Amino acid sequence: MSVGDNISMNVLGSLSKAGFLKHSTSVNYAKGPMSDLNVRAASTSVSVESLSGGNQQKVLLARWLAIKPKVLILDEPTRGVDVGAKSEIYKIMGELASQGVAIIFISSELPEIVGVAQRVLIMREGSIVSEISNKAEISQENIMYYATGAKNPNYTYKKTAGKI
Amino acid sequence: MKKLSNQKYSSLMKSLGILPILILIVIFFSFLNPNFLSGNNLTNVLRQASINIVLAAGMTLVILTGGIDLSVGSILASTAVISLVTSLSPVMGHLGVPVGLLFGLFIGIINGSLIAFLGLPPFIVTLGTMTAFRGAAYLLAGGTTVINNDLGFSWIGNNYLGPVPWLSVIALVVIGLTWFLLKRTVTGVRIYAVGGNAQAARLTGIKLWKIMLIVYGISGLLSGLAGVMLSSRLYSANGLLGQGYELDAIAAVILGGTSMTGGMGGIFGTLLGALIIAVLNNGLTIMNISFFWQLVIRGIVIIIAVVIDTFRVGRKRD
Repeated sequence: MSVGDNISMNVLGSLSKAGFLKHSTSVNYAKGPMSDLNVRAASTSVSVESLSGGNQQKVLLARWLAIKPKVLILDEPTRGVDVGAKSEIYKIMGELASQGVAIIFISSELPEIVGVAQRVLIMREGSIVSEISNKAEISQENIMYYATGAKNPNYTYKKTAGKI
Repeated sequence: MKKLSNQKYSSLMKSLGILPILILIVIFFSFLNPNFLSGNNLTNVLRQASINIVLAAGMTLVILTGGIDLSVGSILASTAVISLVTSLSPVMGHLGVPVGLLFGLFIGIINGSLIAFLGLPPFIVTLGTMTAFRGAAYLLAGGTTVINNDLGFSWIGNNYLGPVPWLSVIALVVIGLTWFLLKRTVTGVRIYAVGGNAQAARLTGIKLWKIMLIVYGISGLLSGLAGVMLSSRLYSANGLLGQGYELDAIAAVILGGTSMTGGMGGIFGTLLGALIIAVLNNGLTIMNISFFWQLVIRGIVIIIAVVIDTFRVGRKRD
């Protein structure tokens, strides 16, 4: 499917009138998100398969941003993505966060967690084993200590009202 | 003449599809026999293609989702019989066409439901309904041929709208409506999405079951229409009708460039594919070539066309 179709997939209902869709509608809609996220493609009608991994990921981001989510869950969004697109994705995440979107960022790449996260929940074998709320304490060493249970082995996860 | 850039050339070739092949075959036959291009014969070709066009339109929708409908021939037979039988009834005589169409839709929904809600593979499900409704057609006809010389809807199969047979008018309208569904509605985009990657489509909130019911329902409905069209032309119906028609429908869709894996293709390709099959049949018959040789040639043409298309457009095959 084309880039344009992929980007407008979630909002087809609101773009259409009574289920009818003019071709130009989804093409024109997609141009905005495409340039906002800097998706590098010849036009909105090229096939998504021809894009690089990073640009494909940005198309997917554009698709889900279209519904203006309050919470965005990103599961390993930069895996297999080239370095240039990676930093663009971080930048997009930063802008979203500053607009008030809550982002749950799941990753196993320690450098990017340290660079991006404001609060880290560390999991092992299906359970949350530690939490780092102090940005200053977020480091690769600390995360590894908690992940392996070397530090804080008796931590139990407590839900606080209003916080995840 | 301006030289086309590489990208423009390949997208032009892509949108032309197999039209060049159709044109070549028409030119070939018109050289061999001057009668081929006569108005009479071309009308014949278009009329002969009409039933397959209608079946192939529904088949296009199904194959676009990555599925298949083997039952179209049997649905054609069952609906042909049931609309003839209805037309003979003293009470419901004028309801022949709607009963036939509804019966086709009903079988299509059965197919769609088994595939959508029980998750059964389309090949197996439609193989089952193909067999069951072949038997049903014989049963409904009481094992003989149902005849109605005074058929109310015989105009469908035998009359003309101006110079064009009604059969062909109906076929072309079906193509137009199917194009509209695929290219100008939200459902059309979703059909392509499901075919491209059903799990990804599901994860964007598309209800797979709805799409399955729609495409198999329409395929059944169009097979019902084809049954009405054929029985109208014959003033009769029996359980033998439509045997093997599903293969011609599938061939038209594949020739037209719609991929069996789903997500790629369109209705104009199917129209061209059905026309190629009809032109081949007609041209070879005029040349007095035996029917059995015609089958061999038709099969070879399908293979050659798919090979040319795959290499010319450089489509990725996973």
